Amino acid sequence: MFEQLFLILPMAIVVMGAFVLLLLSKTFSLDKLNLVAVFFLSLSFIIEILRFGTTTVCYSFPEIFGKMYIIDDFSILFDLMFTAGAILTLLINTAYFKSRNYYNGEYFALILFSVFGMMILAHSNELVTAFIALEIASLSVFALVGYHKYNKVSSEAMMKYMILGSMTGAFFILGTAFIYGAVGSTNLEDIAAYVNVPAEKDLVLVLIGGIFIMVTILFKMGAVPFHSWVVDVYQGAPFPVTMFMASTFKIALFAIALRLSLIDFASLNIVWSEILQVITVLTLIGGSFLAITQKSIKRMLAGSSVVHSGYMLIAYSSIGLGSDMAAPAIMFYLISYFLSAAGAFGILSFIATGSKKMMTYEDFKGFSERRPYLSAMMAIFMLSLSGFPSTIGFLGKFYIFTSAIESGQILLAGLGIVTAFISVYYYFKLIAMMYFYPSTDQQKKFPFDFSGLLIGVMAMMVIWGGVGTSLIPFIPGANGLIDIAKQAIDSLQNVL
Amino acid sequence: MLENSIFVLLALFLLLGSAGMVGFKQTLFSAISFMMAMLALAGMFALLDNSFLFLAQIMVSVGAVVVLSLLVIVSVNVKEENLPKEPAKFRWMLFAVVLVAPLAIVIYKALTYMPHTWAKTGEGYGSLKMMGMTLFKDWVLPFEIVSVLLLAAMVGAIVIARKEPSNDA
Amino acid sequence: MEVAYIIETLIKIVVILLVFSALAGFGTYFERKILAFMQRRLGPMHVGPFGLLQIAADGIKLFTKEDIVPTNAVGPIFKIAPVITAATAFMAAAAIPFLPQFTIFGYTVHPIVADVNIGILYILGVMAVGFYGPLLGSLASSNKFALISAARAASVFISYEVVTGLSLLAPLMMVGSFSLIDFNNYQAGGIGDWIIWSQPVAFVLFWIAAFAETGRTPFHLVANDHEIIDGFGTEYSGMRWGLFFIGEYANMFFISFVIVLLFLGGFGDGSVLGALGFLLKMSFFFFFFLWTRAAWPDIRPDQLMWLCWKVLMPLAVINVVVTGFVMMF
Repeated sequence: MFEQLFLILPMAIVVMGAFVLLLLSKTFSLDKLNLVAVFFLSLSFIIEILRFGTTTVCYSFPEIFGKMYIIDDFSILFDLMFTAGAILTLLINTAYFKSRNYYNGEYFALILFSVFGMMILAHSNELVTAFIALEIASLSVFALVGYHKYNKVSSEAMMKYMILGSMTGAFFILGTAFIYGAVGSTNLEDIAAYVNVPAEKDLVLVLIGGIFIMVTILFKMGAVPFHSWVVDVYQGAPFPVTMFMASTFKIALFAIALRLSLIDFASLNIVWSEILQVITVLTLIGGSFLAITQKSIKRMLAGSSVVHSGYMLIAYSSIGLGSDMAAPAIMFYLISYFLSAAGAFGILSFIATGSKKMMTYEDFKGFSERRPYLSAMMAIFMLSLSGFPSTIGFLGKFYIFTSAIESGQILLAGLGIVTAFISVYYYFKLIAMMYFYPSTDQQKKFPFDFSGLLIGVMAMMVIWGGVGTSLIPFIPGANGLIDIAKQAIDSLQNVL
Repeated sequence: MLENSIFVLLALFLLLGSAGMVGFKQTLFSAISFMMAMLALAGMFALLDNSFLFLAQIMVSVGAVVVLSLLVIVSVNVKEENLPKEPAKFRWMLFAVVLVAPLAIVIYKALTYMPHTWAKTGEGYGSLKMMGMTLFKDWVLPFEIVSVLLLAAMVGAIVIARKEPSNDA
Repeated sequence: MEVAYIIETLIKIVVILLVFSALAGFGTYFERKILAFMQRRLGPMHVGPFGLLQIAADGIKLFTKEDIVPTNAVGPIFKIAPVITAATAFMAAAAIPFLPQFTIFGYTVHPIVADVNIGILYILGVMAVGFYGPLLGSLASSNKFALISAARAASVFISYEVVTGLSLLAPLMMVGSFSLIDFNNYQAGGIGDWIIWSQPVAFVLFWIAAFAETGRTPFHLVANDHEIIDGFGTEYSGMRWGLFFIGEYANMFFISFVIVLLFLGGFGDGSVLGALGFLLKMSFFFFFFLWTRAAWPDIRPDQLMWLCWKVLMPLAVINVVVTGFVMMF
């Protein structure tokens, strides 16, 4: 009984934290609420980190929940990323939500609800549970996007995201219905068992269902035919929320996508890798156009996040073509993108604390003179996002392209490299703006604070992840990270 | 035979209601078409001998969801001339239909390939006891986390809808 | 057998329709007389002895009045709305046992149209559909008083449906069935077995919610005469308005039956005495509807919402939880 409870403890802590925050939201100040939220998240984070690599694959309360709730290294690694993402989002933005008057106590509860949904999503071994978990995560994010409700842009972003998001969310449940119609169960293992027995005619329904589910996942990822919301929503949302969406919510979708394609539809992957290839090409090209044409940094990062989805889709489409590296490569890329994007958005929101204007490229002219440390970190994140060697972004792209070439998708890998070069343009433009133009403002003092320190640590990790080996114990470098990713994927495949 | 004709009739109402929901310009008519579709869906449940789902569908979808949407329509009270102009609406809908048609054909084909053996419904199918057992035994995890979903949605909705003084409005 | 069954059912339906349409008429007479008595007036006196024929006069007036459909009203919906109210009110009657079963000319009659095993859910569901009558009628009549009435109708009905359902949950847990006949049999042992003694909170909550669901005074907001003229009925005339009226009174009768069946032992063991007691108890609840109208003022809509969500609903939930604990241990 208590062992079983211990297995679900991390999620329970997060959701209990959300309840506690709701209860406290009227009495505590924002600072204290922030700390309470971070406390609950870190508790969950610590438990997960202790558990990683030590537990075997098991189900929680199998006699009550059936096989709906699975615990393996794969889901624990994702849990770690979700909680870490939320903690970073909350800590880096401590100053930000004090500078805006539209924040209130429910903000933290919604973040915790969203994290809870993502964690359940990573652990769910059953499609209906996955759908509900996905909706918990998305509904909280919808509300967070519209948090600045007296701002037209924010409200518009929320409406756009909510209407499109709920409509595409319906596809998930429709796909589940089709799969249930064919298989007679929504449990992933039952589906895998059904799919692995070849009976061509009956697989059509499963395929259609799978495609519907993919539509939902691709929409929330922002892949190109479904990308129309990305830039507006990222721009309309308050900075911390944008950071949360780009770094944490995006990862959650790969949790379910990877689980589906590695367990569920493993033998069908070959069928839709063609569809995925087309979507990948569109995403890479369309995302690049989106990113190039933007003037505001926030919009540029939003556009480029589409491109990063494209890179991950390259590896995702290679899973079906027999590359062992593909799935670990996605995991690694997720970690690398998480670090770099969270850092970049973190700096933006850090700067936005003091000023309320739109941040365009122009605003960054001479930034290195005003805030030399911050601009150095920004440069590091930009280098990592563009995939410059000696940063974690380079290794991520390296693994992705290796896996694509391994599985024979030379053209896709080539296109990926071309878009990586294109991305150099819009990322380096920012670096150029910061370093090669004189400052228009007077030099100010740069106060030391916790958010800055945290961003600095992230910048260090970006570098360390790119060059480091396991020299320093407990902090995994490049080798360590890919080993962790492989271990997680292995735990997933051991089920069968 | 009677079942089949009732099914066809209900399906017709379901389709008409859904089409009306999308097609009407006035929100009031859309809501009523939606109600019609929901009633037809409830009829489908009745046809499947599941009396609980039939009434739950009527009470929840018809009795609550549509009434709430009507409440929203009343509170917003949109005049017809203030609705957005959609000159090529039906052309777009036709386009969408053409776009989806191949998918529909594939689904139809796939369904005809399905084996024509019907699953036997067990003893007491459609009874309250069966529904309760299904919900609280086989599907207890999704059933319980739905409560978190509703709570999160409610908190989000209240946060968005609540009026509070704001300085940089 | 099949044919006999269908004929029997049809006869029952016709009888219920006729009896309760007439009763709705008498209901208005009783209401006027009782209100007059309580306010020290005479009430209707001129038509017939003690004004008894007033019903007929009203009926003739309603039937012969011109049926006006306003120019701006949405025709089809405007016309169908009163029918929804009346029809659903009578549909709800299908699951109510009005009398214990009796044998006449050697033929056993069950005075219930359809003993569905989810009778209570059925009644609640049909009543939920019945709310569409006032709602759609007022939305379709393009009248500002009707519009206010529609907004009130939607919010009141939705809110009190929650209270009705939750307050019923606790007795349902005890009886373990949704059938009204099972409810009756559960309490057949005599006054000591009545559910009201074990579920007083549920009884009071259901009773209060019944006032809101039938739209009677203290909760007469949907068509509050001194604020919004006649609410949803403002634009209606003639028999269409009469249908709303019949629906409202039929609902009052049916809900009185349901309260007695659920909480006060129904017709007990099915003897003649039980049947008479049943009608007597039901008449008391109907009378109580009229009594409150004379004794109480109307409350404001916000007070109504406050009462529902902050008082009644928490009470109902606590009641369910307590019942659960008591049943478990």
